[in-house]
Order: sequence, then structure tokens, then C-alpha cells
Amino acid sequence: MKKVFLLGLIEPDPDIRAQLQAVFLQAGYQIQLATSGGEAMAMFDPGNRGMIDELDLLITEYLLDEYSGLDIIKRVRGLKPTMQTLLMTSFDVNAWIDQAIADEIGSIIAKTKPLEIAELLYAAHALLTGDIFGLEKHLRPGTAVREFTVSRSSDKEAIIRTIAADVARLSPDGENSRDVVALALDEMISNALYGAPRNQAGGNRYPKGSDITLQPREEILVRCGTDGTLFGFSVTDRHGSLTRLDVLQALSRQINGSGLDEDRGGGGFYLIRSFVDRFVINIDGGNRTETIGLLYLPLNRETAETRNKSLLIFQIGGEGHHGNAQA
Amino acid sequence: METLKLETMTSQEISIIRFSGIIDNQIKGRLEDLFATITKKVVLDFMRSERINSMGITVLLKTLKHFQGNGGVICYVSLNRLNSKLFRMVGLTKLGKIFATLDDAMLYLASNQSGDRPGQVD
Repeated sequence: MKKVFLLGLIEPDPDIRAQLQAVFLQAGYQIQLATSGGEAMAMFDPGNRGMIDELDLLITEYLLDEYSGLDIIKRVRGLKPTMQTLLMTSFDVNAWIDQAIADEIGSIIAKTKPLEIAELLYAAHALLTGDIFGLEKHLRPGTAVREFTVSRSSDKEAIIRTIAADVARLSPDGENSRDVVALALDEMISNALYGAPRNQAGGNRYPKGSDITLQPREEILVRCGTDGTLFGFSVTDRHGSLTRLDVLQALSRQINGSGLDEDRGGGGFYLIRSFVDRFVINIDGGNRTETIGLLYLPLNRETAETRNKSLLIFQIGGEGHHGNAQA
Repeated sequence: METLKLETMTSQEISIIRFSGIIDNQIKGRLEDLFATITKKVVLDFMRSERINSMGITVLLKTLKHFQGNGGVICYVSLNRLNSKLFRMVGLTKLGKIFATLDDAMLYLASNQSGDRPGQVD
């Protein structure tokens, strides 16, 4: 029998709370609601262990009352260290990266208007099941996805051009969308080509930007597709050498202003995150890494780039693995 | 791999560097060598540059920081929307000023005393 997951949802805004409740119930989840930090603290009191043991995922707004969402997360994790958590905020998510490193948070949902319900449902599903991979999960069911294989570095440019031409044709903001997709794919494929393969000492096996032919088991998979609203593209390597912490530290270096001129790698993540509408990193430690970029086709790029963006990094396997995805 | 081309010319004691292709890791070494030979005023023309990735940005930042630190004055021309935003994000506009056209940049540099920093950068 399929397990019904129990979510703890802490949201002070009654309209948002009602919307989220309806969405999660419809998606087949059970929900335990709290309207304030105080109420949540009482609900997750150490004397209420049964409740905490039953809970599978905690979703909380950061800005509550006398307690913050982080206080609630710390309380619950103190009692159940394997608890999956999602923090939601209307503040700029980039300002939270150092906090995410300190508190081992890989996913923060940006509360946009309207709420990105599909993104929230994906994050909840990913965290609860560890079923994180696949561009299709972000597109409407039945969307056709094209595939390309990168066997050598010289394959990169032709693939980028093909996919970028697709988005240029489909997007009303054609040229700008094309440039964004080309840059994001360049960074994603370059990372898979030069950042993912490691030598025995843990360094890069291939020099950055060098002309290389990959071994068959190293081939990179590039995919793209559109459901008419979202245009998505993904790059998957078979190394899984990236970690959630690598990504967060790379983002932190850029955001704190000691970034690209240091040439310490990972700067591309910041660029991709800045320009695409949704950037997801899925890691199966030691096996594969999938980076996914998504663009809202109807949006003008200038407008799209000013929106607050969620932080979506999911990891199964590798460091600190608890069985499900981590965020 | 797309071949990156760098063309240089000098006019009124102002060096103009024209980039073609994709500015990536291939620029490493070449740009530094070029800057070792040029005058104190430079225009970087991106009209024919398709894309600048993070590896290219890293080299630009390092080279231009050094050049500007030695009194050089830098102008960028023909940046597309994405690259203009990228330059602001990564701090390249603290090192040089963006102009829409080569003529605008030349006019600005011609009126700028050698070594004067831009009064205002974008």
C-alpha cells in the first residue's frame, strides 16, 4: 500500500495556508497545520514525540512571530535528526545562502506571487521519496523531451546552438531567451565535462577548456523540452562528484563578492541561477549529477530576472545520506 | 570548438580590441599578452562576440583589474542585454564604462586625460 506522507505546515498567512492545504491534500498528503511559531513549538514539544515521529516533512515560513521558521526546524531536527525540511521565504533567497550552509539546508522556496505550486510540490516529492531525477518532472505530463549525447568537448557547441535556436523560436523574447539558454547550457555542460571527472587525488581529470574525448561511461546526456509554458533543459553526468555543500559554497563566494576573479570554480552556478527562472541540482553521490534549467516562455527576460528564485538542491547518496533526498 | 579571435588596432593612442566567437577559457594567456603591449586607454568591442562564459569572465576580471590598477582606462562597447547585466553583476563595470557604440567610447576616451578614471561608471 502506498504510504501517505504527513506534512507539518506552518504558515501564518490564512490565504496562503488555505491554498497550500488544498494543494497538498489534493496531491494525497496528510497535513498538520500550525498558524504561528508558538503553535508550532507547542506542537513539536519534546513531550509530543508521537507527533514528531509520525511527521515526514516540515514546511515552514521563515517569518513567524516570537519564533522563526529556522527555530522550528532546529527544534524538530533536534528531536528527529532525519526530518526533511523546506523553508519558505519572501525575502531574497540569495541572502540565505550562508545560513543554508550553517544549517544544512539545500532547498529554500521563494514565495513568489503567485506561488510556484509546481515547484513546491516537486520539492516535497523529491525530499520525501528521493525520486529527484528527470526533466519531465518539471514539465506537464506527456511532454516530449529531446536527447543529445556529449562524447567529446567539440560536441558542446552544436548542441547548445540547436537548443538555443529552439527557445529563440518559441519565446516571444526570442533573442534574450536564446542568450540565456546558451550561457546556462555552456556552464552546465562545461561543468559536466571538466568539473565532474576527478582524478585519484580528487582534482579535475581534464584541464578546463581543453579538447577532450570522454570515455564511453563518462558520456554526458543533454535533454530539452517544452510544455508550452516552460522551456526546460538538463545536463546529466555519470560522476556525481558534486556535493550540495560545493554548490552552496560556490554560490556564497559569488554573493559575498569574492567570486569569479578567484577562479575557484563553481562561478557558473551563480550565473545560471541569476538568469534562468528555475535552477535545480540533483545529486546521487558518486553516481550522477543532473542540473536542470527552466524558463517561463511567456515572461520577458528583464522581468523574469528580477523575481526571487528558490534554492533547489537535492542529494541522495554521498555525504550524510539518510535514505531520502536531502535539502 | 568555436575559435575565439582577438583583433587589435590603435587609433588616436587608443587601443581597440575586437572579440569574435565565444569568450571562454581560450582567452587565458592571450588577453594578458595583449594587454602587456597596449596603451593606457582601451576599448573592448564585443559586437562579434557570441557569448562570454564564467571562465572568460574570470580572465577578463583578472586582466582588467591589473590594467586599471596601473592607471588604464577601459570602455566596453556593443554588449548585448545579457552581457551588460553580467558585467554589472560580476563587477566589470567598476573597472570600465559601457557605451553603446565605438564612436561614443572613442569620444569619451579622447576627452579623457591619460590615466584619468571614468568619473562615473554604469
